[in-house]
Amino acid sequence: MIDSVPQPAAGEALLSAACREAILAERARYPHPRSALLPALKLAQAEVGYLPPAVVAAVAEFVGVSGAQAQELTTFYSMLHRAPTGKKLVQVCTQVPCGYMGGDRLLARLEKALGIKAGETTADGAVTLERTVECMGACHRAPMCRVGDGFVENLRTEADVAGLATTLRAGSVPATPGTRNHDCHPDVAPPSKLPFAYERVLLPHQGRRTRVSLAEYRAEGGYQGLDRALKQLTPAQVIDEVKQSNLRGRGGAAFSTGMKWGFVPKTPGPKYLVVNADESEPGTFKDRELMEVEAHLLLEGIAIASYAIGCREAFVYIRGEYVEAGERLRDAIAEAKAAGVLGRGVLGSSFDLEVHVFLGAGAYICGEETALLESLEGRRPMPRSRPPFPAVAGLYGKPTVVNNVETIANVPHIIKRGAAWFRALGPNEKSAGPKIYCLSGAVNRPGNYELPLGSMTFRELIEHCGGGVSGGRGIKGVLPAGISAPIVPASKLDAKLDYEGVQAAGSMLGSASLIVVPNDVDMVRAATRMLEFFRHESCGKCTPCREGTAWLHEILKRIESGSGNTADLDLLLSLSKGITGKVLCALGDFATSPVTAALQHFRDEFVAACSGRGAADNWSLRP
Amino acid sequence: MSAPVVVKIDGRELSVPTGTLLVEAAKQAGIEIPVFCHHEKLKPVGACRMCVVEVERVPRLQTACTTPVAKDMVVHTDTKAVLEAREAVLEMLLVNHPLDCPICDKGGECPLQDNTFRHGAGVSRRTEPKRANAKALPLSELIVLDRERCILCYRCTRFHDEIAGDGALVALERGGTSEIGVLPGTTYDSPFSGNTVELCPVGALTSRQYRFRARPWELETTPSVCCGCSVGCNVRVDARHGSVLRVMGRTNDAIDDGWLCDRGRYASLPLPLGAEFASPDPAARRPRWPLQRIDGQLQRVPFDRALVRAAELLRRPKAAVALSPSLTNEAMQLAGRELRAVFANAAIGFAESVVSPWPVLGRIRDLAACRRVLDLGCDPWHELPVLALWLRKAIAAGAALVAIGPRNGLARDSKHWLKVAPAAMADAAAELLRALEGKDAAPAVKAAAASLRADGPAAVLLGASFVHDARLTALARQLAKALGADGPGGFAGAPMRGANARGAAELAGTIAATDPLAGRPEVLLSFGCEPALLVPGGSSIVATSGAVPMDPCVEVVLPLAHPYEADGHFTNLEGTVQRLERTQRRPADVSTDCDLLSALIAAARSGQRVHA
Repeated sequence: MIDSVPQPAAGEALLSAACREAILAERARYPHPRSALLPALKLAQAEVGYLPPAVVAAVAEFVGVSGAQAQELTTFYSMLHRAPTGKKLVQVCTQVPCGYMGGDRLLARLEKALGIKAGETTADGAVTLERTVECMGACHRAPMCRVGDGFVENLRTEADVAGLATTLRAGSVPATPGTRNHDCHPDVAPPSKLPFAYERVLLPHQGRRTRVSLAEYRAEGGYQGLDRALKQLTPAQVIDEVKQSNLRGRGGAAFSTGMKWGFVPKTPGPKYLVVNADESEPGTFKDRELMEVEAHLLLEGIAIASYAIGCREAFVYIRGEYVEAGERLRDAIAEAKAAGVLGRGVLGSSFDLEVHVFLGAGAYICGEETALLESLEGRRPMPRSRPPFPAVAGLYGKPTVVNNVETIANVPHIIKRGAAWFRALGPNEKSAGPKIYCLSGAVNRPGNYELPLGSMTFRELIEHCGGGVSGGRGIKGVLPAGISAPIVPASKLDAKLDYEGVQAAGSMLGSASLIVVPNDVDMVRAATRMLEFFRHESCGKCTPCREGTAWLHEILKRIESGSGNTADLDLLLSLSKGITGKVLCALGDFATSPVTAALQHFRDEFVAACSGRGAADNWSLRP
Repeated sequence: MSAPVVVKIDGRELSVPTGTLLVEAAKQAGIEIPVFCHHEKLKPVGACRMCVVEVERVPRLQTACTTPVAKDMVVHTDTKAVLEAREAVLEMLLVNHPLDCPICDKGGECPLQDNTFRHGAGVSRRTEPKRANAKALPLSELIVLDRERCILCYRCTRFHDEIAGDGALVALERGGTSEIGVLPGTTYDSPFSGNTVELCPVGALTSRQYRFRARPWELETTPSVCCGCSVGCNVRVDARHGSVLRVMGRTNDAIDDGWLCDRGRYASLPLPLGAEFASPDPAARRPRWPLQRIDGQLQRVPFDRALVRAAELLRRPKAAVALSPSLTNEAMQLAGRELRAVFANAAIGFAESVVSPWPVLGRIRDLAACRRVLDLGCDPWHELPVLALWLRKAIAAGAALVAIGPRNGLARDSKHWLKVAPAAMADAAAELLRALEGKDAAPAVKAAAASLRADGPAAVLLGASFVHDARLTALARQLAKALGADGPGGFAGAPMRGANARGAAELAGTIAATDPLAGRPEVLLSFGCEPALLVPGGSSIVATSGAVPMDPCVEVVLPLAHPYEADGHFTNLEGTVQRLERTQRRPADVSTDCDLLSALIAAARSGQRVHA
């Protein structure tokens, strides 16, 4: 008598024994085997090169779902390929700000150097070139492209591009030793000087590109917060301390973290912490640096948060493009487990914690917390309707807290230094604490800048940290929360960079991803590019967002090409009204702000485009 | 149950249970909120955004299909903001919709049409071209997909995710390019696929059987009961000019929970009446009048003559009558009381076993609340499909399913499946019983026993294929007792497959247990069996609503009404008696089972036809 387990037969001929074993290991890793579906598809793709239906069917069989259910994911995620690509896939980011910071020009140069158009593969099958509208989290090192699993950044000059093309033709990938990534100009930005003294705590090693080891982290006082939490505080006291700090979620929604933890029922049974590291908002690259460099800070925060909410199994959901970050975090977890800092008996206590790193596969919507949970469960990542809220029924239907990476990175300091220390950072103790500002676009020193929340205005940040606007250009405005919040026009750049200040300026601080838009960028083209993004990233669930983003983009393309008319501008606003506030998640709302804000502040540019007198082509700012 | 709360919708106050969704509460108040994605049998999803309403003190419009009522909630369904939002959603839904209503099967019964008429703007501001896709994409032998018409309400995919659990139909791609489909190179393979045609609020999923056969307003609708198996799902039979064209669900929350399987929906449909009895196409050979073999040919004869000839043949030695288990209770009783009397020497019985040694105790609807389910070779997914959906409902609520048997369509949902050959069933059941009693057993059996040891009501099913195994049947009863499945709230027994097997067992008397073919008959009346049973080389009398067999042994053919055309009653596997109504038009010579039996009995008695 045998207990039945699936006996995959068809898959054996298609996938190697090693690949099959890896898939079965994934299956065993998660509380629910279906969570292994996306990792399994990626493993199969890594082996076969792409995912034809027979391979998808084999993976489905191994994971225990229907072939259609596996195809559902294969066709959703942009990193899963249904057709063969060249040996190296080169994806050039052309989204705002990369697009106008040289991304479009980089694409043109690569097309010329490789002798193919975007979407094509070289005759020898060595390289496939793709234009992407998805941001890859390297906006401060624009222009850039993704080659295989690594990033090649700061491809500023013709020589950089020629070098890349030569490397690609030779069949290799440019990579700085010790990392999958390569920065063509690693030392361009001199360290910034602040007008006031501030000791950085989230990114204390500014400029560093390697991961801080466990030994280094401990030598600098690391894991003391966790030690204090485990030995001196009850979970309720930890939650209370976080509540007292007024820490607000750094992913963009700015909800009180302590309150969120407090919603988790105290009943027995599994509870989960899920760290949202699906940093996909154009202009945002802070969580990447936190994971790549300060991985142990994040892990300490995860351990404290897990202890507080009663979680024994935590997940870090990292966007699929961040392969380097994922590997470094996995290394850090292994290091911590070997030293008894994670795993069974954390720091010698009776508290056990397993931390899983889960990589996505290219979908902006996974940054929405319930879509992220669906993705983690091996389902199509579409936001869930609430109620129930994740705190009650989240991952696998169990109570779940979803927090952003930066939010969690604050937690060790709150426990170590106390809520009062946190509240004292910044002028407004209701929303205080350290905050990382991602500064990109047309500034001299783009990058991550950690400051007390609200301690500077837009203008001060651009001047003191960014070193001013590049090329001495004038500013048209600043997108404060990536491309998802209304642009703040030049006239309002003296607003304080905290939640309330940016709101008063007519926008939102969100994730504090500031994209500086200089005077010579054509807003019609910028809006079209941004709508292309939202159209591409809409999951397809809600009617207004699914159909509306596509329609808005089509109208904008028509206007950009010179065949629009001014009635289209009213139609754009009317359609936006039919989307905003009428959809399940925030993506639909985000999608309309590039249109409505651009029309509010720069209508004349749209009128000019409609009459065929579009702005001069000043799109690519970099030489 | 949940405590009631008072809410106010459009000025009307009503009291509804906590947790009721606004859309359902409004329905109770007689206020219609338009919906597409919402379906009362599926989980709230909030995708189409058609049902938005204004809730006082809530800043954004809320979807009535996902918002539960709360104390003192004040809701408005007819404000300017709501009407504008509805109009915007409809405009968006139609920007890529082909508006091919004149050639669409759904036209006339289409929620998109209805809602557009009621709530749409009447004009579109779209100037860009619509999305174009190949029309009428065949997904399977049964179902065709038109992606242009699809409005992505996800009812069909949610059905396969939540209800059937087989993931047979999914959404592919994303955003504006999303479409419904399957893995390329495979077909839409599910025993429940027809439900999605019925769920589809547009003409995107259509049935190949019904496609282009009728407009909804031409159909005559008759309530009936499915004759596919013994579950007794309630159906609605739609006929045009007397021909049954389709079967739809007629929700009975205690029996079918709103669903049908494809066997009931598609494979059990009556053929149109034919007259080409030599045609190679069975669909042209359904008898519309009585036939008798004269000079080697089947020829039309008067009804009485055919009956007299049939009665004459059945009085010969070695005669037998094989009855279908899908006859109505009325026919069952008549057969049980009278047939033996008139054909005293004939072997009279049923074409398949109808008598269960262990008739079902308990109610189908109680399966949903069972916490532990033991399936001993019943395999409801394949044998009694809608019963499998009830088990899935229990499993979704946390029940553990343990299956023992060679085949298990619910393998994906089973906590344990002890896959054993038919001959080893009794040994496996005995081992499980030992494990339940705390004695030693194989680890897999121990694990299965452990998951059956939880609290709450239990169900034990024994497959009809195994009822001849007396040891297994006895063990099944012991297991049911051990698990408490034979107690209140439980479900226990061996359901037979025939649509009215239980009616036969209860009403047909001694003939119910007779095997009519055991004595190798030379004259055989096949009464209602599809396909007909024959005695090659002997004399066959065929009473059928199916195709006339081509075999020369067929001496007499008597046209029979299909259960969907007849009236009467069926008793389902749990013992519930349900009424089938008669479709309105049927030729005089096509009799119901009861009328035909009655006429045959009368003819045998007097040589003349007497109406029942």
